[in-house]
Amino acid sequence: MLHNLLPNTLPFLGFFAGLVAVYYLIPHRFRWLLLLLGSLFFYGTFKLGYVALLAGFTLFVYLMSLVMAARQGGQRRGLLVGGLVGGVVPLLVFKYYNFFLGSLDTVWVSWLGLSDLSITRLGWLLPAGLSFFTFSCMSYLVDVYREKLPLEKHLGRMALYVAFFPKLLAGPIDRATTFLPQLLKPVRFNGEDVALGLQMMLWGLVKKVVIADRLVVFVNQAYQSPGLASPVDLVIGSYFFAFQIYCDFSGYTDMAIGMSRVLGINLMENFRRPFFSTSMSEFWSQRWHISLTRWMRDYVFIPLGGSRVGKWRLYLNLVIVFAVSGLWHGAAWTFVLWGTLMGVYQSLELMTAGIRHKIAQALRVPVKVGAVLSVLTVFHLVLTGMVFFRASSFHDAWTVFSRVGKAFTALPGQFADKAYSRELLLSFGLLGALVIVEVMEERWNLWEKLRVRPVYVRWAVYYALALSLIALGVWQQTRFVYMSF
Amino acid sequence: MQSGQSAGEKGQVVQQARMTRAWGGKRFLWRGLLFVLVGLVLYSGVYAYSESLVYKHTELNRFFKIKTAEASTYDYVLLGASHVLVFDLRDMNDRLEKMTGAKIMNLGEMGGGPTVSRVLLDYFLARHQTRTVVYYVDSALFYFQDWNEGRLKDVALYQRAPFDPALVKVLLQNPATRWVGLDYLFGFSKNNFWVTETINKSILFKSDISGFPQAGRFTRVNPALPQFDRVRVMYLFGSIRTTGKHNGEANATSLTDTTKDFSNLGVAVGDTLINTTDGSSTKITAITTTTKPNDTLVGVLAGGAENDWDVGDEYLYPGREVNQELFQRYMGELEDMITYVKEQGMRMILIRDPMPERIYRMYPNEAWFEGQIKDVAAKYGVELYDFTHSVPNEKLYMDEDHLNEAGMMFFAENFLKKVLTVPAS
Repeated sequence: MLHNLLPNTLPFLGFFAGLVAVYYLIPHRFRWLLLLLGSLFFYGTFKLGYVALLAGFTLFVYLMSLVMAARQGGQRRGLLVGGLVGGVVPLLVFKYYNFFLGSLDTVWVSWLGLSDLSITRLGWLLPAGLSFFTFSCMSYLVDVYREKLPLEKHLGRMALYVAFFPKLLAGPIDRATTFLPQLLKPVRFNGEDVALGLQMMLWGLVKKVVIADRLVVFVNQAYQSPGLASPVDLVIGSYFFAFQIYCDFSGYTDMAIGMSRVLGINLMENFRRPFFSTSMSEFWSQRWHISLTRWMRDYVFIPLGGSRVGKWRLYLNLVIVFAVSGLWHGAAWTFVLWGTLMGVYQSLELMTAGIRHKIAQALRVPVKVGAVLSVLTVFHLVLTGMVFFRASSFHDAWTVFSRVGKAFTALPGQFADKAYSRELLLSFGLLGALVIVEVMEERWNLWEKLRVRPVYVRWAVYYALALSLIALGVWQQTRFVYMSF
Repeated sequence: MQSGQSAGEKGQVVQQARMTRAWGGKRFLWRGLLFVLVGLVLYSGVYAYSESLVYKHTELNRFFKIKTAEASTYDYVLLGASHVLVFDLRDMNDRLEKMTGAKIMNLGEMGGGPTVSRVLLDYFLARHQTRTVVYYVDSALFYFQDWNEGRLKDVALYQRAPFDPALVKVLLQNPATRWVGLDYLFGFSKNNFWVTETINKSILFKSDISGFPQAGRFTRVNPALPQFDRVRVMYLFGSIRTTGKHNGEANATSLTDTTKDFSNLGVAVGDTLINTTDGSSTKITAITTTTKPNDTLVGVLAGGAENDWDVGDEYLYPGREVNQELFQRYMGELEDMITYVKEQGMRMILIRDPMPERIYRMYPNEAWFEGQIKDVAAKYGVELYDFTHSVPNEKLYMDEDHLNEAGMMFFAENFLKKVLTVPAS
């Protein structure tokens, strides 16, 4: 009966409600155990074997950190390297083995004309959340090595850091430096915090079930066979995909942060209205998948020299970091290209910062107009990258660009002639409502303002959101997109 | 675009001030309870609106029919899947009643196997009575969970079902429908106005005629294209009964028929293959390519005269092996239904509906299934009418296997009328 306990399902709500009730009834010293058991149970509903993998992985990282912390100098460094290499092995095997083999085949057979190596492919499914908890563990090892974080000797608390169910499947990639200390502080029931957490969960669920899962139908229509879809549908599908992935991922994150808030644990913010970014740098460092960007910054970019290098080396570092980020998202060259493109955009942005500023000054562009233009430019740059992110192949991505490009001048007429279904109009309406909410949040901190309004105002908003879930929710789609990563 | 920091800072200060007044658990629980109660009141309003839409726009949903029909004693209740459902399109049921002089309730359900028919029968008998239950026996419905438990769990079945405590009881008592029964009871899927099985399917705002594919083809004459035949039979059964001749090497150990792509016919490793000329048979161990893709079936023949394949030897692939566990389960459902009907003092009739000859020849394992049904009919002493070959004229079908209006009238006048006669009291 309990199978794939996803956060947007009724059985999960029952599980969560029961867990919270027991959590606040038991003494603080047992709460880590309850959360750990609950997390393992949660993960076990996907596949029992995953729990064994998670347990083994956690034990490995724990033991490595214990031994490493007791060493100094070269031994310490060697153990860190060993821990990182060992920690990344499951990810390499489950996620990248077939990809690397396929790429090797392409080079070996198609390009070099040599005979097939006939290496057996693995038919193993990628365990849910592997990419996320691998990064969590790697950051823990590095932070212990750098002595930014005291060694966590309590295996249970360390295991909970890895397995904590709200963030296990799709992040945020929280740091042990902020997570572990919270487990030591007794949490008293605070109705205000619980209400805020529930509010975040509700909003996250609306973004996922009402918006993201509705848009996915149009996206799939366009991208299933881009050669057959009309240019109008390709444009709509591409724009919708940007919002679909945002609502799906940020919706899940809101639910994760909300659930943690209910339990008195604070997770880091992961999305902050990314489509209002005025620069690529702002998009990645402050607004979109913030936890991943910061992870890449601290554990890849800075070790490569960060920004304390010459400008060309800086640009190269950026491209490398984003290419790695692309590969992390998916075992396919389209993801690598997407990541590389983001790195190239950031580099070009840095390269042209001076000249763009001079041009804006010369043209006397008003600040607000400039800001709007910046937002639209960044959004469309991100959108072009997302075509590669969504397309099944380079060929499909190219098909999207070329078909839209060829029909570009005719698009306004095609949009005017298109028959708009009720479902499509509803989707546009919901996106419009989302943009309005996000503008209000950006300018006036909408959710904070709501928290201080009278109870009848807050409840009216909550009931409206709940009604939208009931009346407009698309409950047939359940899986979160980023779980695939 | 500015981030509204000063407004945000003020908000943060206010919020922090509020948060110092931490709520205790009791206050939260009372507030939560009140929130839920008010929410339930609002939800009831939504539920009432959805119910009104059900009564406004529903017509063919079976639960709706049972609930809204005047409590009555019927002469016949017709159960089965779409082959019997077509007799309820437009005014066909009225015509059938006039023809037979009988009061008939048609409860055929699209893709509805014996488990679905049983739920409908139980609900029907909770509100009405009937003298005779007529069950249309389609073999595909006894092989797969899709047409049984899968169908029962489809919330779309219940979205247009008006609320009825009798139906709640039927659904909650049946283990296969307990969860979906809760969905029905609380109206969750019913209140979901924009169910998107396909785009733009706002269920409750449209008549449910559109949800029955055959409705639009009521008078159509099927053009009878082989590729659509294949798609239809593969959809129902996952494999196609196939005959042909070996045109590979003489005295071969494997069957080759270069006119066939066996994978497209649903042939799977482990299925049975019969050399009808030789009298031997085998279990298929591989599907390979000799001249054309997947034209060769590998397996060691045994039990025949020569146990090999000579050029021109005829073969029969009867179809994918029937999952006996599922088959016995659903046949058991039919037997339970028969037993129950007879215990309640009602008459039970089994009918095999007509289909075009070319489709019949493609149905896998059909001869075996007919034998099974005959055995069941004999075991329980129920009447079985096999009309499989009674309407050979392909112009009387709207698609591969559903009668069109002319076909239904022909079938009713010449065959069904004789079955659906009101017995002398």
